[in-house]
Amino acid sequence: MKRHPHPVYIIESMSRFVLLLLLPLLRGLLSLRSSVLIWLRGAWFDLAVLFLILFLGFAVWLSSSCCVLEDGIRIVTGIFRREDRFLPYAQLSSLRYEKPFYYIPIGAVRIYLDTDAGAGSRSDARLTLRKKDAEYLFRKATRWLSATRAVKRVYQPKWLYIAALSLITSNTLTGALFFWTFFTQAGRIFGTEFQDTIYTGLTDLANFLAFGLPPAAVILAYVILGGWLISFLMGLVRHRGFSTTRKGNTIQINTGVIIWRKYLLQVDRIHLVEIRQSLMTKLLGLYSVFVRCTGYGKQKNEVAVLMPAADRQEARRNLKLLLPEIKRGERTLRPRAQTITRFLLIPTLLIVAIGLLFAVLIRLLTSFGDTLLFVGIMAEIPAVWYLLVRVASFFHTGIGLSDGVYTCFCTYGFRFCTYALPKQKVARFTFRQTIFQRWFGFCDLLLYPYAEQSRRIVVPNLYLKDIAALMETELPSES
Amino acid sequence: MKNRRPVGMEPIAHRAKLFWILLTLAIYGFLLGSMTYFLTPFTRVWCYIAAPMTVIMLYLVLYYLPALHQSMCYLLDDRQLLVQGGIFSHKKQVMNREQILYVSVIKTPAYYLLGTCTLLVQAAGARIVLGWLPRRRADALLCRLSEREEGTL
Repeated sequence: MKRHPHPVYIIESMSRFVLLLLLPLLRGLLSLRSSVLIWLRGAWFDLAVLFLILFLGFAVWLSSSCCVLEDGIRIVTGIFRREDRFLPYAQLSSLRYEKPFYYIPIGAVRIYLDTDAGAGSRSDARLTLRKKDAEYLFRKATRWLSATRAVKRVYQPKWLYIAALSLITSNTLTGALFFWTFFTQAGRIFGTEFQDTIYTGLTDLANFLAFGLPPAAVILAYVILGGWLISFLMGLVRHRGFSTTRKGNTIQINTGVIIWRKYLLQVDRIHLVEIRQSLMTKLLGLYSVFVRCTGYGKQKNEVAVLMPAADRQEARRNLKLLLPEIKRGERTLRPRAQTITRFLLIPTLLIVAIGLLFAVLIRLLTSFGDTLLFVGIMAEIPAVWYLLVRVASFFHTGIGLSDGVYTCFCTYGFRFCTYALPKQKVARFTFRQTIFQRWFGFCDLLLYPYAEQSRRIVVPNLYLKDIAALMETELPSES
Repeated sequence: MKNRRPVGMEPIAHRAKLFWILLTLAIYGFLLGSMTYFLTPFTRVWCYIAAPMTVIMLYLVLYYLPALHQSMCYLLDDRQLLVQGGIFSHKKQVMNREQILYVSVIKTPAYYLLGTCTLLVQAAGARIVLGWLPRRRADALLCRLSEREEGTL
């Protein structure tokens, strides 16, 4: 039966434009000192545009519909450009069910459907449905994709492991951007006096907690720390209540408290499994497991996590439980000893360059000597940390092949990654060589997994003949 | 005019030919009218601008647009979908049927005026656009590509 989206979709589709007009109109009305008629004379045009926006939103809602069928879902959207799509359940990579807390009183739910086709930056279809329609769709898709008699296997991590995941995935920029957006929007709604109050309060706090350090350095340090803390708390809230269930050919993931999310992934459409560690979690022996499946982890600030964190044995056991099809193997090929210089060259140069730069700056700008010395030391810390990561990376890097699955061990920035990728999921691979690597017979292996968005895996500094044999490729002889 | 369509291939976008010819004539008329408004007609300057414009318009209307639309065709068999077309840049697009994930139908106001719509055939990392298809042919093609019942459109 054909269904229209939930009426809240009218507001959703036009919300960006409605808020631009609604907030100044409301502020004008609240600060009114004379009659309503005078206000109306000034604001009639804004009101006319507001009603036009709402009318367009209603027209978009009326022209949108979906029909849940036995083998797929048919979605029709658009007014002047009507698009009619039929998405078979068999072709879905992921189905996401999202229930924000502010939609619970009105019984609305957001559904996102994704296949390996379509744009890489957004889902193939996005619907806001009534709860019973959304649950009906979810049941149909689940029943079609997983055998009803299949055994259910559930994994539920401890809250400490969720905190570890937030520790790994938090970054200062996300938190700082979130706070900045809140700060500027609050100023627009409540006025500049509110903004000034917050700003003065933060400055007083920074002065109180300066501990004798230069003020500019203190503010910078607290911005970095504060941004990271906000990002960490956002991550905690996002993944609270995380659980993974494997049934038949599907994996169902539940997560979130304020915005509750449910994901349905088709196992055949999972392209690879990624195990991620930082230097800290590597020393603590903790592993975080992610998957690459179209539609999962696509939204802003979303991570495609399968297991937030676990120790080595628990990670192996649970991976066998949830995804026995993609078995992680051991390293059979690793970089040779003479390639260690390639691992250490860049961080060493970085440490020397930063040291020289700040030494020159301190000599030239003696009045800022204390601040520059502090900033210089702070800048050297990540460079030294990076050197330690690169040393560990030399012992971590490599590749192996077992049971038709490539297992790649590599490093990206400060992260240690292990990828398990079935052979049939490799779209293409490249052997890349610099001039020096060509002389000595080494190369970097670039693997391109079959996926909607191309994100390659780089395993550096392997012996070319060995890796060509592993990839079952015959290289032409160079004359 | 030489027939650019290989044997066995179905035409696409031939209804669009009339639309693009009329649009070209309308744009030509608008530019000529604007020029006549600002410059004195049939003077040297007017002629230097109007003459090449007229030659370009005649080339488009009499040769390029008809040839382009005649060259655009498709073939759908058990294994693959083949779409080809183009004059200066001739393209052959091939997509295996087993790679097709889903098909979208796009209707604009042209659907009600000219009875045409567009099919968007989606595969992982690629898509093929079949534009300006007459309604019946689009319906039949959609049924074969996505194994739906006829009359879906």
